[in-house]
Amino acid sequence: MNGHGMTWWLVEVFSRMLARDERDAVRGDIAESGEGGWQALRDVLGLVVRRQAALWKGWRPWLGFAALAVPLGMELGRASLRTAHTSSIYIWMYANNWDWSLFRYAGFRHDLIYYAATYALAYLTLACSAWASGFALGWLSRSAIPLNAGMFCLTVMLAKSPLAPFRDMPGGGNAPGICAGVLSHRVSMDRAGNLGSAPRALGNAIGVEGEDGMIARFALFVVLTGMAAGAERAVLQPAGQRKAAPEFALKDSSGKTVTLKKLRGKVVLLDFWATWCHGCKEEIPWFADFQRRYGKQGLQVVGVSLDDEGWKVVKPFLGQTDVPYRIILGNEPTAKQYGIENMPDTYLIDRQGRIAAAYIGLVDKDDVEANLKAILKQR
Amino acid sequence: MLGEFEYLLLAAATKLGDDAYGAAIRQEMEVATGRRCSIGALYTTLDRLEAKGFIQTRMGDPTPQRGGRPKRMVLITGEGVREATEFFDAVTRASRGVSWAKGDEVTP
Repeated sequence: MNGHGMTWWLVEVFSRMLARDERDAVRGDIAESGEGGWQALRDVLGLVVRRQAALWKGWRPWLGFAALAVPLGMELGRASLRTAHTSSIYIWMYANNWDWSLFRYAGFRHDLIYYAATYALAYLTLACSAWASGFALGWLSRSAIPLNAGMFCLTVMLAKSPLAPFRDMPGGGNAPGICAGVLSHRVSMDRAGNLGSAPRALGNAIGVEGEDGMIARFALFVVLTGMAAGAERAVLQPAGQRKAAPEFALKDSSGKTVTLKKLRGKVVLLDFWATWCHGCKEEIPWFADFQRRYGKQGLQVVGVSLDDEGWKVVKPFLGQTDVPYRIILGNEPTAKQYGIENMPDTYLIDRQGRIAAAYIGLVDKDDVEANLKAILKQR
Repeated sequence: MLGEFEYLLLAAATKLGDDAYGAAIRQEMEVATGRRCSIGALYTTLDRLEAKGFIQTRMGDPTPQRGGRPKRMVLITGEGVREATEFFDAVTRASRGVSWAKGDEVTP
């Protein structure tokens, strides 16, 4: 990648730290003005810094920093040191005394398998803990993820410092733990609902005994916290600050056109889904329940399928599933207007056609219901 | 009371009317002041003005010259017009009799 390409790549990376609408508008402005890469980078960075600085006026990022980033980072750093120290002894011992003839002895084979399994689980536990920490941190203050992630990693690495409290073990740091922490921030930011590997990792972690059992229990606690917190919640926008939902005109299975304009006066739950999306299918019974209970109060649930194969796959799915609300077939322009990158994505649109709340990822059912009730009361 | 940058933004948005959006406002402000207007300052000020109820914004249609990305359209509200008028009047009153005010006596 040359310098020019690198600059635009950085513009892309940093602009992802902006809210979706703002990112699109800013990138559009930059494209229209014909700015060079460095100028664009300066502009995007300037806006990102201002946005991040403004976030720290609220309590959530501070709580995330003080209650999660620092203590969890410190604990992870210590656990990393401990695991790295004990595992490095055995790795060094086997590497420097390796002799294939030792495989003849059952005791050697047994020990090798035992230590390999033990430390593989310990490293997996560390990665699991780091992921869960990042997930919880990301959930607490999604928008402040970049700064808190930086603080978190700094704290993990500081655990190696001679000045760090409780630093009782020498040895190197643990890269998987740190990297997984950073990665988990990113994952929790993008898709709260598609993290199905966690239970398996958790199951493995529980099996670890002895000194590493402490790490496993710690991982268990953090993973459960993270998973419980992980479902997507959304802040209901004040009526004055809501933005108009992008219009669409899409067809339902009978060929009738459904437009958002025709739904004015109703509260619309707009669900972007697909038949292959596990999280989406999990939400469908919840939305069906909402339609039945709140339909008379003015709720209209609309499912926008983004299946590439269209009605060919959607119709058979609807034949097997109880969906008491309207399903329409989406297209790329509509998905782009709503900034759909992955699914499920859900929007609550008020009676005036404005977006009152947006959920990226698997929703928290109770949170959606509470927000729906509040919007239905508004006239 | 409005700040200087806020006033400049409202003036630019009013001039542009239905075509007021991020890039156009920025260009208008740069022409008016002869200075570069950063996107950071522009968008944070837009948010501030919207929170105060002086403007309303919405996402417009995507266009090819913007790489298929939408515009953030800006509409000045009645309250915004009143605030801008008050600011202008205050600046005009404050400038009476000073050396740089057009048509006034030189009083260094």
